[in-house]
Amino acid sequence: MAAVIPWSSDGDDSRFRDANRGQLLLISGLVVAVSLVALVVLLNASIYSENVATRGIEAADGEALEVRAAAVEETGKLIDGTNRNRPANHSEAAAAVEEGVADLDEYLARAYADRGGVTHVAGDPSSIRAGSYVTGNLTANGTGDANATVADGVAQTRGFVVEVDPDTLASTDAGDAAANAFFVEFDDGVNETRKVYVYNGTDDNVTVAVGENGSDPTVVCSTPAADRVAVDLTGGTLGDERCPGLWATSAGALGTPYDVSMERTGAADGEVTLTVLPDSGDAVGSDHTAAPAVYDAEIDLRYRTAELRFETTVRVAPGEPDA
Amino acid sequence: MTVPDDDRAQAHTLEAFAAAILIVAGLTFALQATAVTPLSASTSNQHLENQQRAVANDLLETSAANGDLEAALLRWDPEDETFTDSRSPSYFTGGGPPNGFGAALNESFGDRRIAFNVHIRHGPDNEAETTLVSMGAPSDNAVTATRTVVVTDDANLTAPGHENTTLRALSDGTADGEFYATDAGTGAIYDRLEVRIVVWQL
Repeated sequence: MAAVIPWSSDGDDSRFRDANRGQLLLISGLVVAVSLVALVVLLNASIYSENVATRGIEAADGEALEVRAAAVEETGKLIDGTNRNRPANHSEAAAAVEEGVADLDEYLARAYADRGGVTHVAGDPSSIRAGSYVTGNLTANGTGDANATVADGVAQTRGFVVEVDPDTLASTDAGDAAANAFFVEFDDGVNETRKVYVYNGTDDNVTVAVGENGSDPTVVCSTPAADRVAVDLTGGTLGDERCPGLWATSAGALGTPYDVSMERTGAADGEVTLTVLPDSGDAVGSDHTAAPAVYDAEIDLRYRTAELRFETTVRVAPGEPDA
Repeated sequence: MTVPDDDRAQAHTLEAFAAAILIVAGLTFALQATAVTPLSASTSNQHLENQQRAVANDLLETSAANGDLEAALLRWDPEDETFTDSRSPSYFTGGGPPNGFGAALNESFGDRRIAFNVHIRHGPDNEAETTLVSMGAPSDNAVTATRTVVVTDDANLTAPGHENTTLRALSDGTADGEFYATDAGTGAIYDRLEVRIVVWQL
């Protein structure tokens, strides 16, 4: 650094010496300030790099939930697929589900072994509850009667889908639906009834209305007509669209057991599918085809990696409403 | 002259510090400006890879939840053994298949200049592979996402003209043709199809 204030040669230095000190202090302050700023910038850069480099690549990030979802999905499809295969009796149905769960266990163990995880899935045979898989045409398979019992003495229902052919639905409105439209009735025998009407409403849209305890039906949703429109009562959808409140208002407050029936089936063509858990025994009375089926099953699931140990018991009942 | 010399030394020390900081700052700036690392802003930025992986995973989840993914996997012509309605090759090359899953792929990736391949692994140990979409060889910065879809024996194909053909009918020979996956599951389960999406920035 250059000597900013020249030294005088006359020997009187003290005045200039004090001035030099001030200059040095100023420069020192600047150097310290710049150093601090540089340090902050460097630290910030390295923290940011570390953050980005390690973002979202945690090894076991949600893997246990992935295993759980895979096991539940396959068990659900297994139960429904087994039911659709129409096993001759309940023990045959339960055996098929047990065998399928054992196969799932082997598959998951192989699939997760290469990721360093150990899985174990076990079905509990005593947890498999017998039910009825009810299917048929809306017109009760041609008995000729306009009213049909779908299921008597029901404790729980899942996968209740009514597929209707819009061309055959009665054209009416909410006010006259009670007198003209096809409907599904839930009745618990203690003055609680829920009626779900399906008809062609405004602009020929397939419309669903719900009436409780004999009150006037209220429209809950509607959808444009298609070849076949599926009214998923337990899933709460109409066609491809969500239909909030369809199940909650149709059977949410019902006591058990309840009876499910369809009336005025002359005003609709289509098919009905549902799986029910009988309140007593292992089958329900129905005018449709009620085949022996598995209603639900519990699986014990274990997943273990070097860092994680996960154990849970899951009840699998695909298409069961939350309420 | 002793006092001025002392002051000189202190000033030189400070000057040296200042010079060192200047040199380090210059070097840092030069490195930042030239070197491309995985963390630099570029098409191979790790942050971009993480985002693409998240989008691919979420796309698979939503498509699986609304049934589009299963429908796309079953869009198979068993007689010509192709996904593409008898055109050659048997897989798609310019975008996703013409259904909900393909539309989701095109919207999420294709329209944003991001290429994707979709492969399906199947068989008893998931050792066999069938290609659904192939847009070429992925770059070194490609990311993958997988989702397993379980199909049952009574699942219907979704290819035009084959909607009434079930996987069971194909495997037991009552319908003509062949499905790409063999019946590897027991009971009502046909097979588990592991869908793998490979995504990379063009």
